[in-house]
Amino acid sequence: MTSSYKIAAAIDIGSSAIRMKIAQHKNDHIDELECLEYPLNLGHETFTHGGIRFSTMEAGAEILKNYYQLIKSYNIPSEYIRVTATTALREADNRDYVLDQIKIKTDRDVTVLEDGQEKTLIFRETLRRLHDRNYKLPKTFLVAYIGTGSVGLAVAKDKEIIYAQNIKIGSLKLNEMMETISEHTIRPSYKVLEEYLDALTHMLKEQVHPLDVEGFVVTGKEVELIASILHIKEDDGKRTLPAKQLKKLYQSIREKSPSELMKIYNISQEQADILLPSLAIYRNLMNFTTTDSAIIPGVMLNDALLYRSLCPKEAKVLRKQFEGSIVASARFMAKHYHYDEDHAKATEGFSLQIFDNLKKVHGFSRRERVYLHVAAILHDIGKFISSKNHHKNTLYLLLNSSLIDITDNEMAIIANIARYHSDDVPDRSHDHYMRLSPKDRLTVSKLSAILRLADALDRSHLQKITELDLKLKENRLLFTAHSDKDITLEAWTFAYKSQFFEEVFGIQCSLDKKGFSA
Amino acid sequence: MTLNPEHYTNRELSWLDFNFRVLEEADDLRNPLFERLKFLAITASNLDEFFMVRVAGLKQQIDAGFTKADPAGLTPKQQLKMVSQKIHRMTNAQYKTLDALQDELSAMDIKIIRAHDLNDEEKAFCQRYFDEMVSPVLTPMAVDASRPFPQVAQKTLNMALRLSAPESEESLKALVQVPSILPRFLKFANTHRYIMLEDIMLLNIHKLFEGFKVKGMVLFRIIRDNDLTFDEDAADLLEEIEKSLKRRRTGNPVRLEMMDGFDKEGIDEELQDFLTTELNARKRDIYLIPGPLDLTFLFAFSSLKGFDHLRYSVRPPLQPSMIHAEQDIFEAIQEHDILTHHPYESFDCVVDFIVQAAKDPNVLAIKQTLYRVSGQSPIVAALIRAAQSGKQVTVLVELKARFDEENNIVWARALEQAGCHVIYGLVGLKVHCKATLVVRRENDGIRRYVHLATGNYNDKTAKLYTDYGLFTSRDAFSFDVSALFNLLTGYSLPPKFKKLHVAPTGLRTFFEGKIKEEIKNAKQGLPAHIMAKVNSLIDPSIIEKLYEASQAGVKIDLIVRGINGLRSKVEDLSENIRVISIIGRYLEHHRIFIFASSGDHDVYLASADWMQRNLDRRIEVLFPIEQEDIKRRIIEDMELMLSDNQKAREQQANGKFKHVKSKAWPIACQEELYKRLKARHKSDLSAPDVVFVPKKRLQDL
Repeated sequence: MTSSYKIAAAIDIGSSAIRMKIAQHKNDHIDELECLEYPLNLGHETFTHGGIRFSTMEAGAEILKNYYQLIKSYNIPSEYIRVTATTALREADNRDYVLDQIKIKTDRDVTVLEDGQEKTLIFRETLRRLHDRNYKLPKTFLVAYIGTGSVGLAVAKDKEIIYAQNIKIGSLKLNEMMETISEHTIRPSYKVLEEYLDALTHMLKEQVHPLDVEGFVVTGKEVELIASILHIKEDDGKRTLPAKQLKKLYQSIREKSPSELMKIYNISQEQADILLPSLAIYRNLMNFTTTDSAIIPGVMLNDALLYRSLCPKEAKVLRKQFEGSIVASARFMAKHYHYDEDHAKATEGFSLQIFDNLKKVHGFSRRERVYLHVAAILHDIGKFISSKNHHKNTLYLLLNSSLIDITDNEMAIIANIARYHSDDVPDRSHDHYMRLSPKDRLTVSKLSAILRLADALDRSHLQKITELDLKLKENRLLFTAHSDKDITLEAWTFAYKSQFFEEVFGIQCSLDKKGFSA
Repeated sequence: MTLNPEHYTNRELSWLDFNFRVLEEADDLRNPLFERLKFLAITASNLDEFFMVRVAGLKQQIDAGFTKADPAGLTPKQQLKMVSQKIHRMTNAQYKTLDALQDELSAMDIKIIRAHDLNDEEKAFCQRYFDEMVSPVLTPMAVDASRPFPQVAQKTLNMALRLSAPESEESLKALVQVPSILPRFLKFANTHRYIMLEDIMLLNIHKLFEGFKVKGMVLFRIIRDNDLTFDEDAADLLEEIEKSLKRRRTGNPVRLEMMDGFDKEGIDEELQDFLTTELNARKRDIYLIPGPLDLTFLFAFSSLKGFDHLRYSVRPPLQPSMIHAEQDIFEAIQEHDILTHHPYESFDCVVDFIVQAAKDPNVLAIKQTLYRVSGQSPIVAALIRAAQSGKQVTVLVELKARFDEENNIVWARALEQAGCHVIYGLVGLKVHCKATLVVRRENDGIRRYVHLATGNYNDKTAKLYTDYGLFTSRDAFSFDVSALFNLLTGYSLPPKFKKLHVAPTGLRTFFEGKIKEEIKNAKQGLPAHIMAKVNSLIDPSIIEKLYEASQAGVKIDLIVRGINGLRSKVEDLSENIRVISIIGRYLEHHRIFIFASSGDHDVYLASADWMQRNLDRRIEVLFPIEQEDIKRRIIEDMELMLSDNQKAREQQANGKFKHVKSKAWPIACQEELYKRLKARHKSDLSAPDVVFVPKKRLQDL
């Protein structure tokens, strides 16, 4: 195509429907051409039976074929078509067979997104749109995205996301829970639901409590349903949902059955099933914040995917900017584990300085720099459990945590880097290390080699070295530490830890000191 | 909703009133003679359809023991009784009209000659014709104890005969169908004298029964209740029966017509009794016809060559004023929205739009709803070419369009073979909206062109039906029409429409909301006015809302061509409502809805009438008019139509429609609209609109 516009399609195989959007980038703005939704209850099958039935998969393939037919009428190049699947397909026991069949039937691959990837895409697009549409936002706000299988929560402060969490209680899962509950109790099931959700906010409070979360941003198809029931209209491109209306609606429907709701609001069974649980979640989260109205930016997964296709340059910049959020949320997590902030900052500084000076040697990209940065921030959090084997505790904590914009595999890399900051070096007898791909193992080795040196330079946790000069001369890396204090401990540790560095990079390190000392 | 029956007119009776209005046109001396013949033919074919669908439906309700009253408070039994009485009156009126028309024809030496008035030469011709053409296709059937009464096909003309064998007292009965493959009437060379086929048979039929004597003959025609095909038009009558009981079809006639004075004065009573008994006809359903049966032959008669001076003067369709003749249609639409007004303006631009889209290499896809498309439709041909050249072509074919089905199936197959994606309607919903979408790749991106209309994509009826069409490339419209097709192809759930309102999901609520808004405005002392033009208004809930609005002080002007259940001008109910019905040269067909909206005037066009079937059982589309000049034009057209005092009939407080009394300057809106458009066409496009202002009445001066 020689034309000056881009056109792309994004398909999202979700838990209750398959959705497609087609949009073009024309005259500097994104122009939505098509928006489709076809119900398909994959979530129900995965969450209750574990897997997806063959007939359901076939129905899904039919829907996709229809969508591809429509795509044809816009002549969209293959590389501009993104087909993704989320929770329902990801968690299905038979996902590999399902994906294989879909590929055979439709002649096109489906990318399964991790939970974290999906949420990251949503949050990043949400922040962008909030900025784009000039929403007035308080310093700190909560972003909530309810999926059918899990709720994604993020707290943003000063335009960076500092905390993100996926909680496995989607609207559909809650609905199924409530159905079971109502068989066992005569109490109104909404009361049980409220208790359950109170426990959730309690947990959230423990994590985020130092902050006063002022704003509330909600996105996803559940809030779209609520907005249409409440006739929320756009005002200057912006939509807000008053807390009062939300609570009133919740109160008026909490004792109604889905079949009653279907009649009252003229909605489908699927919509009726998720209405009460999602309202309950919103109400609960709204109470967690101090705001009296929620912002509805209307971001769906497909919007985020389309932006990446249509504005690749801008999306790249956005992704780079978002690294700030990764670092901020790593720091937020570290604080939670009472880390030694000064030591971490010194280690981060040295690590990144070494990384940047060795670009030609290690050949890494920006992304690996982020791994190193995050590992440097978090390398000591295991001490929160015990200083005994703290590096292993760090590994454990990280492998069981999530960070915004970090995939599970990336987290495993970071956890390994952090784990090897101390005595041990990577070893083929270490399970957690061997579970990584050979390429990722190499990444861990190289980055942990750097982290070990950086950590050594503040071995005493006293930030004795105020400045560091680095010089790479052939196979020698010269460290010159500026300090007015005695750095014997650091020098000794440095000498010991540089062995592994030399082993990995084939570069000998030496440390000189500049400055007075007692 | 509790309805007060006095506030409603029964649907069937209202429809019959409409047919009476059409009959008035046949009587109207201001109409050319041959057009009057055609109007008479229309009333006859309308009535046939009414019997087949509506009367048969009522009968089935009764047979099923259904006794629920309609909104006007009438049970099916009461309705059938009143309907029947009215049709008997109508039939009499039709033949009175025919007499008058024949007198006028005679005055011009155009005559339909009865058998006994033929001269010898003509008689000889008829004999020859019978022997050579008619006799070979006749199949006489005797009826006696061993040979039961044969199945008589509906709407065919048949002859019953009473025969006697020589030297025998016993009489024999026989039936012969008047062959429908032969022309119904014949012309005697070099004259304007005509004879009906049945009269040719009358003279010669004895030849078939050698050795017998023809004692009597009766010409008859029948429509039965089991001829009813269950379609959506009768759905309102039958859906409740469907639920409770299996439908019962008796096969009894809903109408038995017998010609009075066929072979002699009066009618052969023995044969009349015989037919009545054999066909199981009730007295009420028997129509003795004082003239030729089945007046639809007048369609052919009124189209006879050479009588142009007795027809409407030719009125060539104008080039649409908003499109320059040489202009590229896509460029024109890019510049601004385009409104076309058919049949005043040519339908060619719509055909051209599709043809050009089919040719254009930058067009990627064409999607269209086709409903009642003419046989050799140039649109279908263009779509086939488009598909053959690799474009994505999606066509929705609605096969439920009555009486057209075979025709539709043929070209639907052709479309499929060419590679079009053909969809045959939706389960349970008739697709009645008229929409086209063209996806075109342009330098700065994809642009989609939309055509929406109040009438079908039928180049034949577009010469007769008054309809609006709108071309636009506004993004929100394109998005909505795309989404509409995704709904029709079953690709997607109904989306949130940006501009369109679509039945059955959102149209009723839209109308109710708009009427409510006017009520609110009226109560606040703001301008409150509703102008609407539909073919039919029978939806009880809409009628209730309109009454409510009238009582709140909303001024309501309605143009309803056909069925109308609303009662206007009734004290304390509908004093602010005026209803007129326009019957003219063209079939009034556009659906227009204008709401004062506190002075902003929201103008909408639609494919839907105010009937339950349109709002609840069909896919219909209503679309707003956003471009100011088009809005103004439609409002002006509407005001002009409302001021018609020639072809408009106004409903009186007693429910009856009467010609608008006028001492003012005569306004026939169909004439004026043509003149107006012609003037607009002649004047520069940028020049101000030419508006005809009716002169004031003398007493007002």
